[in-house]
Amino acid sequence: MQDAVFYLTAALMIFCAFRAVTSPFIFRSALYLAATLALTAVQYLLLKAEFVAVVQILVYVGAVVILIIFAVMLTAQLGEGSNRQTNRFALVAGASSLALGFGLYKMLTGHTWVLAAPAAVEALDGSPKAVGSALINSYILPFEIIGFLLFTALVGAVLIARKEPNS
Amino acid sequence: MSVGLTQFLGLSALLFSIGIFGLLTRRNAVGLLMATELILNSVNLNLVAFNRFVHPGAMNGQIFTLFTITVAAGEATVALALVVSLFRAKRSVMVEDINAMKW
Amino acid sequence: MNSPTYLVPLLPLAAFVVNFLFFRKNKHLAPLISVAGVAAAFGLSLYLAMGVLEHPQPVVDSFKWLDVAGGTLGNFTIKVGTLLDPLCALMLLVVTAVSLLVHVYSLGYMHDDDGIARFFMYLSLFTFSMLGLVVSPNLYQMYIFWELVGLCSYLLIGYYYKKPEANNACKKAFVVNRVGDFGMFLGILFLTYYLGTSDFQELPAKIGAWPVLGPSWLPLGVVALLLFCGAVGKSAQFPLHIWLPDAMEGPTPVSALIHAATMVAAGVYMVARTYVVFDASSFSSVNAPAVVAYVGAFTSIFAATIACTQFDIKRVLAYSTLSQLGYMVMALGAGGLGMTAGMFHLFTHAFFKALLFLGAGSVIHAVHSNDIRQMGGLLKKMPVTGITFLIACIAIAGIPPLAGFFSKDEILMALKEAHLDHLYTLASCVAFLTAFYMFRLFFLTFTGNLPQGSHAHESPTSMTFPLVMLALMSVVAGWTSLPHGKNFGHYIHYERPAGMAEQWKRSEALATAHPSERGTAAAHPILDAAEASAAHAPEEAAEAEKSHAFEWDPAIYIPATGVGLLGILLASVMYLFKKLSPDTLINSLGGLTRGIHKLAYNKYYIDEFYAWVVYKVYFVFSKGIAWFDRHVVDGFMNGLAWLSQASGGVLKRTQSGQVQAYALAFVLGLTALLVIVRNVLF
Repeated sequence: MQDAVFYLTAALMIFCAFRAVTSPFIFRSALYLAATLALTAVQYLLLKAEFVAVVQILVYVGAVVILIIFAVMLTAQLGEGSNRQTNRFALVAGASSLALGFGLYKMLTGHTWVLAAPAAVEALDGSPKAVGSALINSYILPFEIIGFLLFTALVGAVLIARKEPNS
Repeated sequence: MSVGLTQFLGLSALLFSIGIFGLLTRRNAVGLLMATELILNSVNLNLVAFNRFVHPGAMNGQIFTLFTITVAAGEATVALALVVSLFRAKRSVMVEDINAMKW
Repeated sequence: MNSPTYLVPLLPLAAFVVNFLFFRKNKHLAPLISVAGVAAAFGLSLYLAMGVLEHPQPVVDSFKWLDVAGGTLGNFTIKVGTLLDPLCALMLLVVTAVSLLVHVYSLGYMHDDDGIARFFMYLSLFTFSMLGLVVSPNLYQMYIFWELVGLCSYLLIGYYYKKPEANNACKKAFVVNRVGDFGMFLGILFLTYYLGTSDFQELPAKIGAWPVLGPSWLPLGVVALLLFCGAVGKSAQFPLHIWLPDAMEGPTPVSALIHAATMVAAGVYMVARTYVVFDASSFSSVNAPAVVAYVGAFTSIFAATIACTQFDIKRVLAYSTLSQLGYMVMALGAGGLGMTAGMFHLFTHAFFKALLFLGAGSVIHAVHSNDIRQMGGLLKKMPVTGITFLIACIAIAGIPPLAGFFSKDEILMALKEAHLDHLYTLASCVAFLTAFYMFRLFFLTFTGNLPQGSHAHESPTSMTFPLVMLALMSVVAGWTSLPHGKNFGHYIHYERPAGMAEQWKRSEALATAHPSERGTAAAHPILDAAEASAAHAPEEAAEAEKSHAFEWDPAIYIPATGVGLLGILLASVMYLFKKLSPDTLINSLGGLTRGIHKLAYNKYYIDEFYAWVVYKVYFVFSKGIAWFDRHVVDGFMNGLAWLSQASGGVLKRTQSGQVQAYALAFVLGLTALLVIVRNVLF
């Protein structure tokens, strides 16, 4: 059952991701991206990372994609399809990126990973409680720093996007 | 064949390739940003899969994924602000129009 | 610091720095500060000289400046510091005394000049440089100060920078000096290369212990000649003498201080300091002392004949200086006795030549002209200047008991001792000429009738006081060599390092010996030399003690005084009593004497010859070089430039400004790296 869900989701993800980078309509691309990210959340659930799955939906689908759609609407006409959306590198870029991905795959699988015992794998707890306690206990410093980073990003974004007072 | 680490690695490598492809071919700056998100997403998938199959006892992979998601969100914010600002200045979001560093 | 010697140069430097920082425009305070600086230096020198009289042993006080590790002769260090010995103390006294008097004199002479603060600043800087040169314990430090005095000379000759002649003269002096200095620096480098040191205190031992000293050994002679190049430049010997007469464009006190009494003596001093190198080279195949003697002798007679024909008062004195410097240099070439005699003449000459220049300055100050044909009868108007000038003339003419008599006599004696008989004759001729032209100058300037409308008057006390002091010194300075217990020669003399002659004899024997014996004998030359010197040391010391005490020989001093008197007589017949017109003398032997006179009057056309060399020979040569440079060297460079431009034009196309093109290259490179490094694809 789980295998079937994985393969189905994977196939959908690959299709959506591919459309996201090739669709001539930038707005549709954004929707395909949203779908890919949502499907990733399903994969997280399969990997028993429940909290990460929830965050994925909340942050990515709920915030980042919405932001991207805003940007699309601010900068381009909807339904803009007449403009070519890909450049002339398509063939070379496709070949080389596939080669790179394949190379990465071979490299990662070429290593003999010491896998955990199946019992331990099954015992993995990705609940909000477990993740939360890890964040607050072991990772408190990075957590705070990330908070500060987000704040900085916020200020920076406002500063960059703001209209010049004179113009 | 039961789904294990290998399958997840394969999926993430493929998503990574697609992201790179998008990064190289998209003309629209927003499209580039989307491709970047795809790449980050594939890495996150990797991290969570490793966490589950190699180090189930510790939370490292998941925590790291959370951080990546957060940083990606911040990055998207700034990048989109840049795109908007760029659009205002140049009336275009096509990356080949941004060539001030040309010889 | 064990002794306060280092303070002597630093006091004038302090005056210079204070003036430079605070009183650059102050016409009243700056001169006083400079005078105070040099007066303090004079006092200290006097104190040090007293100490040296008690303890003549050299005192070295230095610190390491540069450590040069691993040369051909192992490690060697360049030191900076002071060396106080009788030679140095003598020079300190001469330099500070003349400098002090010239400072005082300048207070009056330069009183109305707008740049008086600048003038005194330069004077202080010069005094510092010259004193630094004098106390140098090694050739490197000496070279630094050597160049500094050259710079000060340049600044002071060009003091009237609005006068084009002064500008040309200062450039000429600097460039001509550089020619000599180049040779000197090469000499210093060679010396360090061969001996591993340039410390004056270490040179004798090192040379004495040098294993290959002997007739076949060329380098030491070359080193000596190269060092002498520096002396030729600084002491204005032929053929680099041309800058000194032109240097008279500077203010007269400067001529007195730098171009008559002190700086030009630096060359003589340097040769005296490194005399062991010259002496050792007389064993080698290059006999440097002989070259020194002949260069000096030639300069001496050559300049004396020119001096007889000139009408510019300062030029006559300038050529007289050249001639006297030639005298000293000639003496230096006459062995150890000559070194003492040369230094002694330097000592006495400094006083009467400074006096002559300052007197000339006083005259020029009064009549506003340099031409002696427009002067006359000034003795009544300017009694102090006139009488002191007369004293100086008598002194330089070598009439007893004034200073010049003693020093000139010693030089003649040294020449006689060294069996340089033709040089002795020549030196006597120069003595005659010297007496003649000095008294020609004196009679033309101070006797006869005053020119019409002359308003000449005596100079202020600040100017006459130094004249009187210098006149006093011109009288008494010579008495220091009177043969009683510890005279001049007792303190300043050259001692051949023990074992050097011994070694020379041995290497000469080796040269004639059978080749097979050579190897064994040469195996322990240092050891043998050490033994030999130990055995002969007391004997040689006694011999040396005897040799630097002059013996008074009537056969020398009577003719020497005689030619001086003869010169005065001739001058008085021609210029005082006007019984013999110069033109009669010029025409006496028809074309021959007329030609000689014309040659001498035009300074033997040396300047014209150099100009011809530069304009014709050198320029034609340069044109060839310029063509080569423009077409071959530049062509090559332009080709290179064209090549890089063209290749850049091609390569710049890759910089499209398209971020994605860069990213693609990045990804391709990454893929290639994966393939190459990990070989994962195949």
